[in-house]
Parts: sequence; structure tokens; C-alpha cells
Amino acid sequence: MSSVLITGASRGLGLEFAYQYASAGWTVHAGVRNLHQRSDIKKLQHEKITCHELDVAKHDQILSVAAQLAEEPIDLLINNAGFWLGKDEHYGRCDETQWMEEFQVHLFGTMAMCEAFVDQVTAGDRKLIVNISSGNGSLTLESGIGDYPYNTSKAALNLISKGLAADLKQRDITVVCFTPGFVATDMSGPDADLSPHESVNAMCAIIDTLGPEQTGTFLRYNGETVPW
Amino acid sequence: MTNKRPSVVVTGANRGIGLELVSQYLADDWQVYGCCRRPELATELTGLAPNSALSIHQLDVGNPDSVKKLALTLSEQSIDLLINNAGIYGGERQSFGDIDYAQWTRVLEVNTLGPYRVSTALANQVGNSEQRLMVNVSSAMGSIERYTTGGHYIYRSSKAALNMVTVNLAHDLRSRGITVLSVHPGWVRTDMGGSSADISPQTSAAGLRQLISNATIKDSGRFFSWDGSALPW
Repeated sequence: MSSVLITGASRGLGLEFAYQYASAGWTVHAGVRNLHQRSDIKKLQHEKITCHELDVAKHDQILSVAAQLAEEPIDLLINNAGFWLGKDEHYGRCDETQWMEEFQVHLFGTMAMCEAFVDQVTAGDRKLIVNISSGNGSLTLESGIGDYPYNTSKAALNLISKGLAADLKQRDITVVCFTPGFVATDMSGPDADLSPHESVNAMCAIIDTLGPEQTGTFLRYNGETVPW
Repeated sequence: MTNKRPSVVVTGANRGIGLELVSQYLADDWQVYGCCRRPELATELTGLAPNSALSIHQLDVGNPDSVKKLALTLSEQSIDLLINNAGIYGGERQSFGDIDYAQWTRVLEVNTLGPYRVSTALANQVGNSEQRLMVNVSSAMGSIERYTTGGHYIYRSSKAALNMVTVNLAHDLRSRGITVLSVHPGWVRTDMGGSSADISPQTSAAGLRQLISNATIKDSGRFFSWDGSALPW
């Protein structure tokens, strides 16, 4: 039986990952920031899904979930938790406190999750870490240019993903980052190109095929390579 | 046209590459604004100050109020070239399983947000100048393409994020005719680079000045090594 741990699982892509893996019979550990928000939890009511209170900006919560799951192999860790501030990301308007919060969630949160769960992932059969990045994190594509906090934190996330791929090779762990496409979630709004179902369905199909040859790569949801 | 000498702001001017850039621009007859955290301790920089073309300013790029204060002091100046050189390495705890998150926060504040703060605060002064150049001193260690070994997460991620600041500033300041570059100064024999590094601060600064003087708006948003060659993201 395969198992997956997903951060930011209460909505958007994270919720869709939880739902699709649970439907496929996986054991799903869903990290959600607020266990007591009724609407979040309702959507995650599935016999295969266990919810954990997990704000990746709070390292004590990460360590506490890691301790609870100490004996549990994790086949797949999906670092998905993230946010974006819209026009408040633009030149001259960035709030520096919020900028640092994006680093705390996208960058430190991902690293802290990897540090805390590396033994469980090593014990899993698949040994996969998937970091949900963004085309905005590509220095080459210049998509979504002007969103300083989001773009810088995703570029930094891409860099550490490449480093993690090298550092965790000796444990046979594969690390990739994905750009999920422009998906209609609370973050992107309704005008996006893809539904969460389409994006996650495509990513799950690619994740199925991932192995050591793909470690350290940056992939579009459909498996195409994205330039750094 | 004016026959006024060109002007440059250098952050982190008290030592290493910053100090050498100050010294070389002074020798080339530029007006130099040398900025550092503790001018009272910057004896080598203050030693250059009898040259009336050098003024020294207190600046901690990690502190928004300090940056605002500098912008106010320089509000009437035109600045041809801003060199965001101030940077820190972040200590030894940068390996997987032993990451110092407090240091990581500080390094991003200085290496990534610092250049953004100074660039936005001085954009009008640079936009009103002849040359209109901004240079972010990054590092080849911030190249994701070239990162194949792991480790050094704090410093490397701060420079990849700084490169993203360069790309975004280049886009946002293009309409004002401002060219923004990321540069790799080489592995330089400084306090940060250590004594066994490849090149001297003199060689690095001379190479950087050459590539800066050749830069045009077409180069804006790109990443260059001190010898003028292009680097991959």
C-alpha cells in the first residue's frame, strides 16, 4: 500500500492531490493549517485520508507530525503549501514582511519538511519528493514577471530542489519540481487555463513514471522540461 | 551635456570587492558614494576619503529605515551607476539536516531584499543620470543550472533569488532606460572567498568595470561573469 504526505491540502491543488490519491487507494496524510475550519475538513472526509494540523511556517508543527509518523514509510512527499499576494507583489508595493513570509512557506517550509521526513521517505518504496513550484520561478520564461516575493521564493525553491536532488541521491530519493500550469484555484482565480482536476491528474501520471533519471529536474504538469 | 564626472554608489564598500571598486572608480575620476554598515570601523575606506570625490555613508541594506535615510541624503544627486555589492555568506550551518533558519532569514534580508530596497529607493536618481546602470553582485553559486553538488543552501538560494530580482527590476525599469545586471565577481581573495581563491580583488574589480562600461539596455536582465562571459541561470 502506497502512502503520500501533502502540505497545503485543504484547498486548490493540495486538496485535489489528496482526493485523487485517496481515490486511487493510497494512504493520504493531509497537512492542513487549520484543523478546525469546518469547510476544509469536510472536503477531506475520506476513509483513506488522515488530516494533520500542519502550518509549514511552524517548524514545531512539522516536527510534531514527523514524530507522529515516525514509523510510517512515506512513498511520496508533496510540498505544495504556498500563497501569492496579487498586486501587492509589484514594484514599489511589496510588503517586506509578507515577502519574508513567502520565503518562510515556499522555501524554509519545503526544506524543513524534507529535513523532518527524510527517514520516512527513505523507508518508502517510491522515495519521491515533489515540490510544487511555478513557471514564475523560471528566470528564463519571465512568466508572471513583476511578482517579486512569489517569483524570488519560487526561484529559490527551484535552487534548493536541485541541491536536495544531489544531497539525497545517496538515499535513492528522487526530487523534482513541478509547475502545475495556470490552474483555476483560489490563488489564480477563475480565468485560468486548467481545472485543478486536470492539472493534478496530469501530474499524478508523470509522478507515476518518475525515477532517479529525473531527479533535479523542473517539469511542467504534462512532463515537459522547464528551463531554469 | 554636462562635463560633470560620473557618479557611482557602492554598497558594502568597506572591504573586499566593494572597497576595490571604490578605489578604482576614484582613480578613474568618478564621484563615489561609499556605503557600509559601520563607517567608524571602515579604516581602509576612510583612508581613501581625503579624496574629495569620495563621500562615505552609513547603510545597512538589511534595514529598510537605513535605506530610506540614504535615499533622502542622496535625493538631489544623479547616480549613473548603483552597485549592490553588500552581501553576507551566512555561516557554516548550510547543510541538509543542519540548516540555520535564523541565518537564512538574515541572509535573504541582506542579499536578496537589500538590493531590491536600494534599487527602488534610488531608482529616480539613477533614472535621471546619463548612464542609468544598476549592477547586482550575485554569484555563480546562485546558478541553478550549475548547482550539482548540494549544500551551501542559504547562500546559493539568496543569490538565485537575487538573480530573480534582477530579471524583475530589468523588466520594471526598462521604460526608464535603466539597465540592470547580475554579475559574478569570480572566486576572489577576500574575507568571504578566502586566501586560496582564484583571483585578486583588483582583477575582479577591473573585469567588472570593463563589463559594466560595455553594458547596454540590450543586456538588461542578464547574468555575466567578471570576465564578460554570460552565465546560465
